[in-house]
Amino acid sequence: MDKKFTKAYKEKYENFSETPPDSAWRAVSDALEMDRKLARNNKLRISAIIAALSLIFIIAGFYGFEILNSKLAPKTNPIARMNLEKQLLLSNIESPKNIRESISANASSTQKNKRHNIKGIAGKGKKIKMQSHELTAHSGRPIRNYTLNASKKAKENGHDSWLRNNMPAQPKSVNLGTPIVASSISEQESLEIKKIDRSAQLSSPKSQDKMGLMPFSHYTFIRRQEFYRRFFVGLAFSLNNSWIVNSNLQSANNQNSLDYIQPVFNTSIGLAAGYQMKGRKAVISEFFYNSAISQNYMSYSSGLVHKNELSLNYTQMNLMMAFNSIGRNFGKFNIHSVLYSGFHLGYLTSATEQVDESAQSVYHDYRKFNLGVITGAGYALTWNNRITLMVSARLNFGVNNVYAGNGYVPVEFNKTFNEVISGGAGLFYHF
Amino acid sequence: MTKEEDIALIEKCINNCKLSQSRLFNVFSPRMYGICLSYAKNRDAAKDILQEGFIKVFRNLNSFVHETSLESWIRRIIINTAIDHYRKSIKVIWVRQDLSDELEYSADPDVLAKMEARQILTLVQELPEGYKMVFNLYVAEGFTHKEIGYMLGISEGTSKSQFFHAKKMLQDKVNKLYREISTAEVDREEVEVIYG
Repeated sequence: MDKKFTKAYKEKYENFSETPPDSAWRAVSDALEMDRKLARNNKLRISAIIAALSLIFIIAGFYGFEILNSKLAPKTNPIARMNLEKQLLLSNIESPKNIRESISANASSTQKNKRHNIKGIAGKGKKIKMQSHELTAHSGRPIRNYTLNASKKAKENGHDSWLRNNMPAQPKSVNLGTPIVASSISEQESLEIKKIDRSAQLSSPKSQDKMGLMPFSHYTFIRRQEFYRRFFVGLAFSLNNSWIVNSNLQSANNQNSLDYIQPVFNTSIGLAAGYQMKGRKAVISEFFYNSAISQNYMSYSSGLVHKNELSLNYTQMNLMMAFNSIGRNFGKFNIHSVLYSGFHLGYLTSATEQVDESAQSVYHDYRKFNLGVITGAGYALTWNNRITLMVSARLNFGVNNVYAGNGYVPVEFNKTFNEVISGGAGLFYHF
Repeated sequence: MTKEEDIALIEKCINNCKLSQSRLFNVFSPRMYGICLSYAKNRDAAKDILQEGFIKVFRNLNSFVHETSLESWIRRIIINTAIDHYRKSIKVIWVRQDLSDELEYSADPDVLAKMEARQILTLVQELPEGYKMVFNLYVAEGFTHKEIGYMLGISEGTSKSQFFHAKKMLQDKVNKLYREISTAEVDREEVEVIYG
């Protein structure tokens, strides 16, 4: 009797079908359309992250290059070394100074000619290769040396003799011009020396070497403001336009409920402090007691549409490396651009979710720490080397999932990342 | 639909062809809605399960393996979605009951065959959530009590107990409904005889 009953039920069940209401397909269709939008948004997000990472990479690369340069420069460039040791004895720095470097044959284009000639002499299949190296002489002056790499067979046949006979003369000394005291350099300024290779631009036959080459180097002196007041403190103001991105909605329980996501504007005020390093680099640290990140969205549940607002409040610390561009002076004012990048670390102080009119704490649904990267750019206006006003635009990208999960929506269903675009202003006092 | 037609339709749906997505929904949704009705407590809830289930279907179509039929794959997703909904709405406390206290019940199995499927589903919908879930998974889907226990997070014994009580409650409801229908038919015949 028991089996007969269940069998009868199964037969009825298997054959039962009923056309669902039209609104069911509309809801499915809308959700699929939202998927398409999210996919497009994700592409934009990925593009933005790539752009930001590229910028960070470029800035980091620049710092690396600067550091490397500062370490190498004193050893290889006597002028730079003199500058660093404050022994530069120059005057009339208002106009660029040209200094001849009487070294023969240093342009890469000349290599082609040499190799071509060598091939002609050595014959097909005979490997003779000439290389050019810039070395440092005992005097600290840059010289150029030439080495000859010829195959054993080529040497035996004397095919490298032409090259040996036509090797450029050994480098002559560097002519720095007449040393004069640089009395016009103030304490607040420094000189940057830029080397430009200007090969094959001289017409004087005297400057030509045996191979008919006309190279020389051109040094340009750039006068630059030096921030001699190293430390600065001040206030930082931020206007955030934030997104809280659910990046893994594919298997989320609420995959068909998130709709009409809108970012929310928040403001926050914090403290900032920094240290201006020698040259154009600076370290900046910011502290925001209450940095809010919010998102508006519509949710669909049991046939009703609800308006939700999720707000995550963090106490946040930013640590950034800034690079100041060459500034221009206008009387006592100096204006320059600033690029910066770094990291932010936030500690969650509160989290609320408002559904329609009622709000509830969702603090335990979210992780306590939010870690991310920062990149931004702006302008700084400094008065009398004492007070600076900086305005900038900034991107904050959260790198860790901040959602901790709850009994209804596990963490893997709702991975969430904080993303913020903000405009900011800072007012600093130098001492 | 043949397997070839299934494959062609799936490919178009994966490529976001709205017309094909609509067609797939129209082909399979009536049967799936019937399943949803048997698991849900009302029509609104059944519609929610259907919508959510089909969204999962469309989002995961590229993972569909053609070794099984498309209908059974969709059906499995719909049932899983119904189980998810049940988990979210669960408020009952599962209590393992000793099966030795089973009561004898008197039900006529033929009664079920005489009733409309829609009437039976209405009775199933009236069952308590836990009973309904275990009953459908065991009888209609053919899962074992061990599998049901794993899916619902309960013990095998609790599943058996829930099934027993569900069956008894459903048979009582079936008998009661059948008696009412029979009485109404007898009354109608008597009226026709008197006024006929």
